[in-house]
Amino acid sequence: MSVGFSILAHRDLPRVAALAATLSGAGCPVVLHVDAAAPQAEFDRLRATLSAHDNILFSPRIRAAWGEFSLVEAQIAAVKTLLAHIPDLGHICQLSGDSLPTRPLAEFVAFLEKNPETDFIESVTAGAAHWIKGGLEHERFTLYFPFNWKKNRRLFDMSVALQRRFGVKRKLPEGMVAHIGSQWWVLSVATLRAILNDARRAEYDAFFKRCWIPDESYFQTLARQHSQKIESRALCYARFDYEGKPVVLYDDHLAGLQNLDSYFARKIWAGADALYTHLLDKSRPALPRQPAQREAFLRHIGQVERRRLEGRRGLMMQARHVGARARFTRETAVPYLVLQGLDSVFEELQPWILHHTGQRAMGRIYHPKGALFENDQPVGPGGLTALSVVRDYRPAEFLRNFVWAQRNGLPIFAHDLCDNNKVARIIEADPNARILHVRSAWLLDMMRQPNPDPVALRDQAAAALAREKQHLANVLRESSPARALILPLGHVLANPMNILGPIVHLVTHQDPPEGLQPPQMCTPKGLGQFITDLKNAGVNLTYSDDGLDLRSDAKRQKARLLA
Amino acid sequence: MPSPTSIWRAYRQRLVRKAWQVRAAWHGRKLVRTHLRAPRRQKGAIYLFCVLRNEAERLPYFVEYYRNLGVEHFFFVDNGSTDGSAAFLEAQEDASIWHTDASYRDAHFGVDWLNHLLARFGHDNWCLTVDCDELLVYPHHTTRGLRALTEWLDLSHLRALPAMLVDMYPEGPLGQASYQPGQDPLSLLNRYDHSNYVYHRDNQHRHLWIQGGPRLRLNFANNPRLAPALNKIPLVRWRWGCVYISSTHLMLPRAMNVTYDERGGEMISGALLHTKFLPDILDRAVEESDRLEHYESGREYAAYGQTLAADTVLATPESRQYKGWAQLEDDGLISSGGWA
Repeated sequence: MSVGFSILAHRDLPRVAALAATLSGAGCPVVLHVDAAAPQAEFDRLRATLSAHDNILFSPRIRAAWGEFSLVEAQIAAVKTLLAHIPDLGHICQLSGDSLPTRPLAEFVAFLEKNPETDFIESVTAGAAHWIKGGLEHERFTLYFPFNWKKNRRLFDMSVALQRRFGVKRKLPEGMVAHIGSQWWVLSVATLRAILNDARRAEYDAFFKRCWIPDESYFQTLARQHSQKIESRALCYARFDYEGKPVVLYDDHLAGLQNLDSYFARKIWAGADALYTHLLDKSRPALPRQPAQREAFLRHIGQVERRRLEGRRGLMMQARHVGARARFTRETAVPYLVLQGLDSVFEELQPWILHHTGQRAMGRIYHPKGALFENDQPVGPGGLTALSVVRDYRPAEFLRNFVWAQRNGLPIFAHDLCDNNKVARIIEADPNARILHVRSAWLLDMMRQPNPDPVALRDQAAAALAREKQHLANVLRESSPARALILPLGHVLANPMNILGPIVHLVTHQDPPEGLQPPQMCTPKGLGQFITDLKNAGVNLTYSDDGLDLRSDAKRQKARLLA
Repeated sequence: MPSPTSIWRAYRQRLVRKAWQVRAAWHGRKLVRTHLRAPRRQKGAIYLFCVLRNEAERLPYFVEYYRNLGVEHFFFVDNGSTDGSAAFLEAQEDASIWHTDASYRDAHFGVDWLNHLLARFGHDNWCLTVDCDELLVYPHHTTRGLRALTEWLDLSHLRALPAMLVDMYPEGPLGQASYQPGQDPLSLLNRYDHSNYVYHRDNQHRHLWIQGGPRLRLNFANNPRLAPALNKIPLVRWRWGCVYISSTHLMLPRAMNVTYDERGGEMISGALLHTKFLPDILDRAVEESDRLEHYESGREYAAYGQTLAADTVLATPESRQYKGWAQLEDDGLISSGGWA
C-alpha cells in the first residue's frame, strides 16, 4: 500500500518536473495532467526530462477551463490512468503543479499508512458554512452557467441576476447533498473506485456539467456517498483572499510553511527559488513543527488581508484616501487630549505633564503666529512645521498627521477657541477628542492685559463668551461624539487637581498619587472686581441663559471621559 | 445611464489624450537613436524608461539597483549630457539609448519623449518610468523582485503601482557628505519626514495630489500651494494609448490614476526614495535656475537657491532614520495592500 500523486499542471512546466521528480524519487507513482492549452514543445520537453522515471505517467491531455467540468474530467482521467497502471495504491493525492511539500515526504507517507481507511477531503455542506469567499455558494448547484466568469464577467453576472429574478432552481439528483471544499484532496483508492464505478455516475456527471466550479464540489459531494470515514480537512494549504484569488507564497514564507499542519502548500510562486530548493530537498530533516511559527504566519496572512480591506484608522496615504463613500471621513488614529483654558490658569503646564506622566505635551498648535510645539521647536511630531502658513494650508490634515505621528502615546495639545474656528468644529465632531475645558478661563488672560481700553475689553469679552458658548453647546449636544470635562474657573482655582487629576489618569491609567503638587498657578488677584466691572459694562456672563446646564453635569462628564 | 454632459466630458478627455499622443510623436522625431538593443516585441517584460542629463554620479548605482531588482531592459534618453553619462550608458549591454539636444522644456519636461518611447516599446509590458534620483521600494522588495510584484499585480488585475516620492536627506549639513559614483546614496541620505504629508483628491484627473516632506516645510514654506507634487505612478502595465501628462504624476486615461481605495482599505503602494539632496543639489540649483528648462521656469530650483546652502541641515529631531520598507509601511507611507 502506498500513495500516488495526481498533479494538474498548465504552466511553469520545469517547476512541475522538479516536483514530479522529487515525488517519484521518494517511491511514489505520479500521474501528470498537463493542460492541452500548454504548448506542445514545452510538454515534449517535460516528457523528455522525466523519461528516466518509470513511475511517472501522463494522462490524456484535456483542455480544462477554469470553473468548468473539464477540470473534473482532467482529474478523473488522471486518476484512471494511475489506477490502470498501478492498481495496488492505498491513497491518491490530488495536487496542482504549483504546490510543494511543506513536510518531508516520508512523514506524509507514514501519516497515510497510519490512516489507511480515511479520506482527507474538505467537504462542507453547501450554503451552511460560508466556505466560499466572494461568490456564489448554494447557487453554484441550482443555477445554469452558460458563461465563464473569467472570460465574460459581465454576462456571467447578468445571467445570474436574471435567473435569480425568475427564480430558476435546478433540482439536485435524488439523495444527493451538495458539499463543497478545496479541490486538493487525498482519497483512498477504495473510495475513488466506488465513485468512478457508481451506477448513477452518468446522472451525476450530467448534473455537475451544469454546475459552477464543479472541481470544488464533485469529489467533495460524491465522497460523502461512498466514503467509510471522512476527515473534512485539506492536507494541502491553499488560502484564498477576499476576492477569491489564491494567496501566492514566496521565499520569505518558508519558515511559516514548514510549520503548517498540512503536508503541502500552494500556490508557490514559480520564481521562489529558495522554496523550491529547500522544500524539494530529499535530505531535509523532519524537524518537529513549531506552533509559534505557524501562528505567526497565519496571523501575518490575516493581518495583510485585513489591512487591504479595512486599512489603518486615522491614516491618509497614497493608497488610502477616505472619501465620501466611507463611514469615517474625518477620522483620527487614536484618542487625544485637548486642553482648553488650562494655559491661562497654570504656568509651565507642559513640562509638568511630561514630568509626572512621561507624556510629551504640546502648546497651542493652532496659535495664529505658528504652532507652539514642545520647547518652541520649529518642527514638531512627524516633521510638521511650526509655520502658520503651511499649517493653515490644510489645517484638518495637520491635526490628522499630528495624531498619527504620536499614535503610540496620547497626543496632548492646548487649544484656544480664538485659534482657528474650523479646528474647533473638527474637534467637536471627533470621537477621539478628549476635551478638558476650563470655563471662562479667558477672563484671566483679559485681566492680565496692561491698561486695557474698557470699550475694547467689553467687546473682547462678549466675543470670547460667544465663542465659548457655541463650542460648549456643540460639545454638550447629545449627538456629539467627543468626550469633554467642563469645569468652571472657580472649581479649578479652588482645587487644581479637579482638572489635573483626569489628565494624569488619562495618560497613566492610574489615579494621581496623593500629595501631587500642581504646577505654578497664576494668582487671580482682583478677579471678582474684574468680573463685576465687566458685568457693569454690559457683558452678560451667565451661561444658563442658553440652556447650558453645566452645574449638574461634571460627574457624568468625568465618568464618560475616563471610561 | 450617463448623462450627455458626462459623455461629452469623457469624449473631451479622449481628445486631450489623443493630443498628447500626437505631441509625443511630434517631439519623438527629435530623438536620435544611438543604440537600439531592445529585444523584439514582448509581453509582460519589465522595462525601465528614463530621461537624464549629466547624471554620471548617480548612474552606476541607479543601473545596478534596478538591474538587481529585475529590470530586463533600460531605455534612456540622454538630453545633452556633457559629463560622461553617454559613455557610461553605451557600456551597458541591456540599455537602448536615444540622444537629443532639444529643449527639455519644449518636450513638456521630457514627458513627450517618454510617451513616444513608451508607445513604441511599452505596449503590454510592465514599464517603470523613473528619474535617476529615484529609487523604487515596495513591500518585500528585499526578498521579491519586480517579476514577483508584476505577476502578482497581473493576478490582482491591477495595472499600475503608485509610489510617492519620499525626499531623503542627510543627518548633517547638505554640503558635508561626499558621494562617490557607485555608492549607495541611502548610506548618506538616510533621514526622512514620516508624517507631514497632505493629500488632496483631484476631481478632474481623479489622482491624489500629495505634498509635504522637507521641501514643503523648508523651500515652499511661504507658498505651500506651489510645493512640488509627490504623487507618482511609475510602474504601469502599459497599453498603447496611455500617456503621462505631467511627469509621472498623472496619466490618461484618468482611471489609471485611481490607485487608492476610497472605502477605507489600503491598496498596494511603494515609494520612490528621492536622492535629490546629494551634495550636487547646491550646484544644480544654481545651474538649473539659470537654464530655466525645468517645471515653471525652474521655480523649484530657484527656491532651492534661496533656501539651500552648504550648511543647511534638513534633519530635525523628529526625522526618521531609514531602516527599510517595513518601517515605511509602519509609518503609513506605503502599504502591502493584500500582498501577503
